[in-house]
Amino acid sequence: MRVIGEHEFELSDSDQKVRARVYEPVLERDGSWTSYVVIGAPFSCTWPGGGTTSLQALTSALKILSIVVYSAEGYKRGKLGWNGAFGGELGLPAMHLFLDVAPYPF
Amino acid sequence: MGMVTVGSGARRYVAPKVPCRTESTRPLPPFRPIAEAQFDLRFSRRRVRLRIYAPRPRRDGCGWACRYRIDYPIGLQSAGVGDTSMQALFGAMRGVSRALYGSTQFKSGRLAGDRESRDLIVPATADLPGVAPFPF
Repeated sequence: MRVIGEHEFELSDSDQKVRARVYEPVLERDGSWTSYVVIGAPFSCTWPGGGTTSLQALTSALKILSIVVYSAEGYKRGKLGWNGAFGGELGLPAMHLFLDVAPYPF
Repeated sequence: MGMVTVGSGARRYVAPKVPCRTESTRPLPPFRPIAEAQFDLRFSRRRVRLRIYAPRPRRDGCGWACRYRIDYPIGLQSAGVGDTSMQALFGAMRGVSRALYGSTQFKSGRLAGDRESRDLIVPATADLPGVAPFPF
């Protein structure tokens, strides 16, 4: 699998960067497509974005990434940031369900 | 792998290991799409094909670009750009969204997703809520 998208977030209480990666959609044996999202520590999680087409899988992966970072406790507490600013825009759009918390629409 | 001899002298079949998916950060070939979809064009046998290519560093060194292409009759080649490859991907999705949902073919009801759904899988940008109620 190859990385097609990479983005780094910052932590207010650490020099450590949080790296998020999205992988190229791959065709599964059952004919569906999966694009994985991997977010580094302290999230340390891997999520599959699925779909019937590679486009749908990629869209799902991007949505999952947005949901995970904007719904994180660290974001709500202003500890997660991007480009030196914390608790604001993370350089990615927020899903419509989170626009009250993160007013950064797609 | 194949046949191996076990302790008793009998031979049994051992299935070859499925190679695990290994991670690679090498750049993808420039002309291979990472995501594709086709949309129906009503009253026509033609299908509209969309291709998104892997983000690549821009030639001027300023960030990343993610190219996309939509075939005739929309006929568009463009790119999303950003400081990171992820932002370029999101930029390409935004461009695709505006091109598809903003097209005369979609507005006239001719462009459709699978099963004649109005939803084209691509999320609609925030500036298109009245036209395409499929938010990100």
